[in-house]
Amino acid sequence: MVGEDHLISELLRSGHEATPAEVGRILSRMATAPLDVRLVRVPGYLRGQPYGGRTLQRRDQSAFVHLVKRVRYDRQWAEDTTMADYLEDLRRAVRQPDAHLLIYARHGEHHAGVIADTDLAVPVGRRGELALPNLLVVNSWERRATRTGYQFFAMDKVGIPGDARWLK
Amino acid sequence: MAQVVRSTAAEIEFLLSTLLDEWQDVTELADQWPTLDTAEKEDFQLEWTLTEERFERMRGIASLDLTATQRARYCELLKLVAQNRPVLESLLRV
Repeated sequence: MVGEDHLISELLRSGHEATPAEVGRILSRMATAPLDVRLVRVPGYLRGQPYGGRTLQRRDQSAFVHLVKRVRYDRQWAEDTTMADYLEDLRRAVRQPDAHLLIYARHGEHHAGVIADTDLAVPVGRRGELALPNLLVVNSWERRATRTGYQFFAMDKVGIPGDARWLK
Repeated sequence: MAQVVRSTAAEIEFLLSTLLDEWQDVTELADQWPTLDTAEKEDFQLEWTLTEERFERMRGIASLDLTATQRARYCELLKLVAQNRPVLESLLRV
């Protein structure tokens, strides 16, 4: 059996069809992964934005940047959504039985992504005024963390590479 | 359906403000691009789709009625997009 850390690279390299067990392993790891908290660049238009008792700096924790962007900027999640709420919704998306699963490599790293229905993943009270019908969750496999989760409208516009492999 | 469909003055203001912010940020982002971590580049490439969706929505609205002030800001946006599109495309290809 391929080791957990090499599962995605091996699936992409070999091109073999993923078994139900392999799909289950990927989804299981995604459903328990924490949000990435490494420091990242904060776009100029978000710097200085206060949220939840903190203020976004020039560089800030990735998870916090994504949360503030989703709530204050994109308005996809409701005001007062916490980091724990956001993570819970992303994990709920990953656990949806009908969710789609894809894998890809970019920048020398491997990623797994899930696309699910927003309605089934985000409770009504937590949806923002500009909530969109589909929810993408992307996990950075080597970093063992959820990189991002955002809602989108059209599948053909989602920012995953064209050579991503759809496993489910 | 989670999508909230509306084309009110508030939505036009939201679209113009966010799009101008995001397209203006492309210049600084391009300057910093060589120093960014691969994860930061991945984030940008994944999430720019939201900006393009907003831009398409704005173009649809702009084909209808806009106030003179909104039209002026929309023209400013189109100019900015034309100016920054080449550098943006280079970032999305990396």
